[in-house]
Amino acid sequence: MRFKGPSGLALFFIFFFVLIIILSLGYNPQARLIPLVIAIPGLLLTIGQWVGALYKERKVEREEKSLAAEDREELSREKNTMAWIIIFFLMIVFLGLHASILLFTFIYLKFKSKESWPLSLSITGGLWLGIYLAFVQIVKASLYPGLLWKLFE
Amino acid sequence: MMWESFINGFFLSISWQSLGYMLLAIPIGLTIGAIPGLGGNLGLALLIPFTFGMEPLAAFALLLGMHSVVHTGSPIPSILFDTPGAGPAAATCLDGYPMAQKGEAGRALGATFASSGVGGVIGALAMAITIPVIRPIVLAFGPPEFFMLAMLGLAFIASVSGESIARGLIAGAVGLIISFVGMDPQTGVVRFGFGQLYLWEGIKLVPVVIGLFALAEVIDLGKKGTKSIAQVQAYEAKGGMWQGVKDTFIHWWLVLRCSIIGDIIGMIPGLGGDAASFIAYGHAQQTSKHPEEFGKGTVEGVLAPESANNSKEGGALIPTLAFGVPGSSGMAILLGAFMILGLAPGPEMLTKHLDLTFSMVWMLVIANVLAALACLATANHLAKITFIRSSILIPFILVFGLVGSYLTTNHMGDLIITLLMGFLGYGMKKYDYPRASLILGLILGEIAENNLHLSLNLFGPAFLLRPMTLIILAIAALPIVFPWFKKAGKKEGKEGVR
Repeated sequence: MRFKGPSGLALFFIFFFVLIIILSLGYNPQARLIPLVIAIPGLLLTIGQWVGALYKERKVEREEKSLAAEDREELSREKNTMAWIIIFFLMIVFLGLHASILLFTFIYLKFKSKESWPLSLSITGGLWLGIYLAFVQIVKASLYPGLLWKLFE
Repeated sequence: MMWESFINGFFLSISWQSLGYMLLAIPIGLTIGAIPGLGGNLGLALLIPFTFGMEPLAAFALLLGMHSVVHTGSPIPSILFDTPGAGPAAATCLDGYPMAQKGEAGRALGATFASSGVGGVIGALAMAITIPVIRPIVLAFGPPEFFMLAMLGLAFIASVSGESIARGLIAGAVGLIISFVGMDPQTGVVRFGFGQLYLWEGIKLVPVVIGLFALAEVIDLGKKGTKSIAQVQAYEAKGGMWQGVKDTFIHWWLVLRCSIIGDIIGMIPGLGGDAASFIAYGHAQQTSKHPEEFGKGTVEGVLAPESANNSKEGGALIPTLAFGVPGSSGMAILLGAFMILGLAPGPEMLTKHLDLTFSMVWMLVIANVLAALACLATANHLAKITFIRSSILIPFILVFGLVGSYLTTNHMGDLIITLLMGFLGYGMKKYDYPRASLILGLILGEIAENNLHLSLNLFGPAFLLRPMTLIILAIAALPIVFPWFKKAGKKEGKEGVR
């Protein structure tokens, strides 16, 4: 069973609708009515999409044996960018928004984008200052402190 | 008396005090609109304490001056970074960002500011015209009509689905299911909560749109490895801001229709103004001579949602003033200002305080015009941002997007939702599942379900036979039926040529 490409996404939606149907059956009739009315046709439509996507993918596989080098490079950049987003998210979880904005921005600019030291530092500082002034000082928002800070409190 | 009050209202709105507060409030509103995650409601909540002890005229100049221009600022990040400044601005991402990628960011910004200004003015004038007759119109709407209006909005899923209606319906269904997360107000059951308190209140719109659009676009930018958002060189950039302004007047009929759509949706309390931009977008696509261009960077795809977005604020003010029933969440906060100022919304606003009411109409007009002019002065400079290296912009977009998402409820859950929606949104973009359909489902799902249950409890299945309900049902069928007629008409035309 393929988990990539259009059929992979269709499969994800199938699991989603199946999960919703199973969970809905546990609610009282009024609460489950509309979710079931939406999820069951959604599931049927998605199964149709999945079958169609599988058929198209098999046809394409017969015609093109392997990914072009350009496509492989794009796929690599795609995964790389997703990884950076996950890293940023994990930094926020553990270090909080202030620290992770500083660290992530600098590391991304200096080591991923290969910008110069002055540019990386000035953009990092400017971005953090802008966030601090706009959100903390003016709006008086409290930004997430991070799990590590909470441990020390 | 009505005409005298209309003129008096104008002179009140251009008094030094009123103009002064508006000039102070307009930049605040534009900035709040342009920063993802803040939203006009936050601006109102921040400014209301300042209205203690103020004259009503000054207070409303401050509050309305800020609130009415938030949606002029919110499409700026939509166009430049595919990051909506507010939920409704997500509709502008659909064509605004592709225009920026084609080097037409200036044109997109010019179109958005001009159509926002025009939409805001039309919304204000519609408010002035309907004030005398609004009572029977609004009272004619009950749960059955709200349910059918939600169906009308959902019918537009077919319009924004592009080539594959099946994928559009799947995306719409996912959006509807997401809207059901949380406590069901009819039964008190917490649905799909997975034992998490955060999910009891449901999934908020802002984290979803930031994930679906901003994060998805960051992944796309990183994948393509392009040097800048604009995929052309700066000297190839076409049109500029003035072309966008001209487009607003070339497509004046579209702008007028979408402004009226926004005004009507804003006027109906309980429907939710967030859908106005998407419904207007769907309508524009349906009625366009080139519907296949939508989603690829057509200026009509920017004009339609922006004119509706601003005009709905004028519409939302109508039931707020006339009945004390807020036409939107922002108006609910504005009612707080009424209480602080010792005013009672309702018949008094249409009799004893009619001058003040009409001054609010003029404030909306003046604020929208001034905001549009101010933004137009900066449009070409803002457009240059699309030529900055992507490698520098990516951290900006990520930081502003995630901070904006977190500020929705100050809970980590918002960030998790944004992250998950980011990956889903990227997949949807890559494999042609329309994200607009998901957003429509999310916005309208709760409204549709609640009003369906209320209608069945109050009237039984016979609610479908109410005259207003039948009229709206007929209108709701149009987005589905109209494309068929259009295709059939084209086929007949071809046969005629043979």
